[in-house]
Amino acid sequence: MAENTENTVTSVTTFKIAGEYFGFETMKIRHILEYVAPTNVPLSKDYIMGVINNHGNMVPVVNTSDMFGIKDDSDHPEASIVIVATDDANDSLIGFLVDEVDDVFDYTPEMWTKEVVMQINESVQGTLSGTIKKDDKFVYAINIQELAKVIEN
Amino acid sequence: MLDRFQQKFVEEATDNVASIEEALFELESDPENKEIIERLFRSMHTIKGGGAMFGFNDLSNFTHNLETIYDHIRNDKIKVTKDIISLTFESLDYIRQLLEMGQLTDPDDIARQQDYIKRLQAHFAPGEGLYVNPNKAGAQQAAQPVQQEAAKEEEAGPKNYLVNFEPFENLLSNGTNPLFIIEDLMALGEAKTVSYLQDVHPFTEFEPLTIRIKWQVILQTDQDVNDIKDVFIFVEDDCKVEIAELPKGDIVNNTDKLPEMMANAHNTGVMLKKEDFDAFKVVKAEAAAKKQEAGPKQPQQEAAKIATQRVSSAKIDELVNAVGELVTMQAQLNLIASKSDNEAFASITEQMEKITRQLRETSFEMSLVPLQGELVRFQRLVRDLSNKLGKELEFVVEGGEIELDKNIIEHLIDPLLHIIRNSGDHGIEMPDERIKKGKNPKGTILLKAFYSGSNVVIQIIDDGKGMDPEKIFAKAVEKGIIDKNANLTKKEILNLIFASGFSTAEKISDVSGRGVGMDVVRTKIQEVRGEVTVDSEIDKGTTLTLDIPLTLSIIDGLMTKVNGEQFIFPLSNIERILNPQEVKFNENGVGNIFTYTGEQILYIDLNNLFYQKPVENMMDSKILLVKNGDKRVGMVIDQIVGEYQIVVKPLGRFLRKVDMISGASVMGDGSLSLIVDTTRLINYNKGLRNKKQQQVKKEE
Repeated sequence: MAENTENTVTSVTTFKIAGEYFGFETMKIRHILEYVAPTNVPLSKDYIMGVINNHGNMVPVVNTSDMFGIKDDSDHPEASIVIVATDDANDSLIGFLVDEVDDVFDYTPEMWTKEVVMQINESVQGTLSGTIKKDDKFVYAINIQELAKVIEN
Repeated sequence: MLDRFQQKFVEEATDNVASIEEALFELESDPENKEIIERLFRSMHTIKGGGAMFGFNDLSNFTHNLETIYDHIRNDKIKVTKDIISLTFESLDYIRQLLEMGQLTDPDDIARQQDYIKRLQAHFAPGEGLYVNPNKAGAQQAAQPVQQEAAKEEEAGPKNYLVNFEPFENLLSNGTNPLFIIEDLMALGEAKTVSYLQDVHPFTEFEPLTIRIKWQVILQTDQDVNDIKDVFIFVEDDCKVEIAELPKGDIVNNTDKLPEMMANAHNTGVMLKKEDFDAFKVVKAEAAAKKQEAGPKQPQQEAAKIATQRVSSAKIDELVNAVGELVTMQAQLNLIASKSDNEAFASITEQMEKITRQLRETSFEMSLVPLQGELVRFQRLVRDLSNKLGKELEFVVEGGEIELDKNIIEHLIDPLLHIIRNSGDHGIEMPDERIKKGKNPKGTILLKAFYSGSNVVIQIIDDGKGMDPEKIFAKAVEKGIIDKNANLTKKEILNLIFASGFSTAEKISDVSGRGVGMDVVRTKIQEVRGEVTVDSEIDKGTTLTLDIPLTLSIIDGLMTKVNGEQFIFPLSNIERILNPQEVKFNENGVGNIFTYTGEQILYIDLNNLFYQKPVENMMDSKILLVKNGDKRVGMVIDQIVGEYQIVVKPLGRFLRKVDMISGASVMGDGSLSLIVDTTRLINYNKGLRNKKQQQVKKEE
């Protein structure tokens, strides 16, 4: 997610992983599904759980907490799959398993800071583009394009 | 912006340009052939006429000049030369550009057009065939060329043929209705028919299964003899057909001599002869007048015989997608029906399945296009190469009628162009070198296409100097692609040319570029799940073989289970399903090999490969015997579920690296199955073993 420098309002959708809040740009989100078990694809990357059928398209699902290297042991009855479009291409859909979808809100440049204190796996640390502070909650903004690049390569 | 009619014109003109190009190749090998020249002239004329009508005046003007050359040729004023043919080819490229650009506005473009026209005009006397722009010039002048055209046509008049059709007695026994044949003939133009009933037996001796009638058709048409012959294509062996050309003119509508002649022939049984029509030679003026009366009839006849129809490819894609969804829904329906007690429901489901299958097959066929349509481009390339390189090259095609999914063909064009360019540039030697080797100075590039199972094989075979495996090996070592101690077969060495960063060209030429090509070729072909391999013999030539699936969308598959997950194998790749009891496993544990009917066969344990846990009890498993080129490989799986018609859905780019899975499919119960690409799987397994061997070596 790009830094909100202009004096505009941008919408973010937040979710929880291992007790922390992360956010995707709302405009990129196509569907939010209740968790369904993906079909395992052998010999794919460890953090790819498999594929699910989304309106006739095969959409890979990423175990986000595995990929980020953050985990808690509690149950997640609200677990969901957030499907985002990484660009305009036909096969750009990708699903992320999250513990719980939290909120959708607009943020202004004043709420944005470039600093990220959250430490996740080194390979994906760079995909966290900034922090949004809402009330006493810190949301780590994820740059979807950058994240897609990591998964693709 | 082009309007609808202009777009249609551009489409049709593009087709016309393509057919001119095709005809031009024929003319090159047969420069005296009047029929080809006529064809060329007509196509050019259509482009010119349409161009003027739809506001492509520059195009029309240019084509007019080109057409003038061919007008002179057909009137024997000038001869076809290599120069003219080359100029025509170049002009076609230019016409294509003009079709894209529309009217010229840039002064540079206009100057270029003037140059082109001057070059064309150099082939005929100045002043002749000067083009008059119908939009800019005065009305009187504008009418001139049109009148000239009309005059020409009058002079020529419609062509006439006398067609004798004498069926053998057994014609009816193969289900042919002779009246349909006569109807087909009559659809070619205007016609009059005489029947001869003299041999027909009286009613008491009537034999319903034999035919004793003869016909003669006087046919007035703008089609040529071949089109008439085509009518008889399915009955060639069951009848005698003679076609004689009659004097030109409007014979069919003659009221003064013809009816009498026909009645006479019908009554006496003396068949009409070509000479009987000599009397019609003089009636030109009359005929012309009649023709104008008969004018409006023509379009009606044309409308009646639409045999093919233009449909946008996007619509076909849509249809194929929808049918794909239908097939999936059908599978769901079948599942529900099989669990239901309602017999009527089960029966309807069964009926529907038949229709679905039929629909699937038809829509699948619709999305196929023949390779033929794209071949002119290659022919053209070889011709240009031949001129540019000073080599004598011939392009030969076998199996151009082979059909492929159009999306696949689109993907193949660039790689094929590249391969053919390579063959011409690097493969075929200069003529003097070829003579020294005792070869025909003319080099041949053969494109051969044929079906092989559910795949199409396309080979590009040249008879050039071939590739030297030693050189390739040395080069691959130099580029760091392989280790200098690597132990490779000749085939493996040759196929190193597909490794990225490899180029066999010793010098860089502007034709084949910098040799970045072959790995790109391979990537492109792999995108449509095809494979490319090379074989070569020094001084004999090189063969590139492309193995390509017919379609990407719907396949027949065998569903299996491995470790509880569903995997589908394309049915066409499976040779046989074996029980482990039928084969003899290699006891001494060297590699995964079993013996079956005396053949040593490598096998892959999919439980092990996919989930790193070897199958627990081999004797409870099943083995699929899969074809892989000329070898067979065994795939050990847990269980066979059954045969399914499935819609292949790609896994998308995020899983592109998992290339031994070619896609997934939604099953009737909503579950997903993964589709196994057996060729890739075998290669992947081979790669793994090589890696392991290397590791073992290192450890030593």
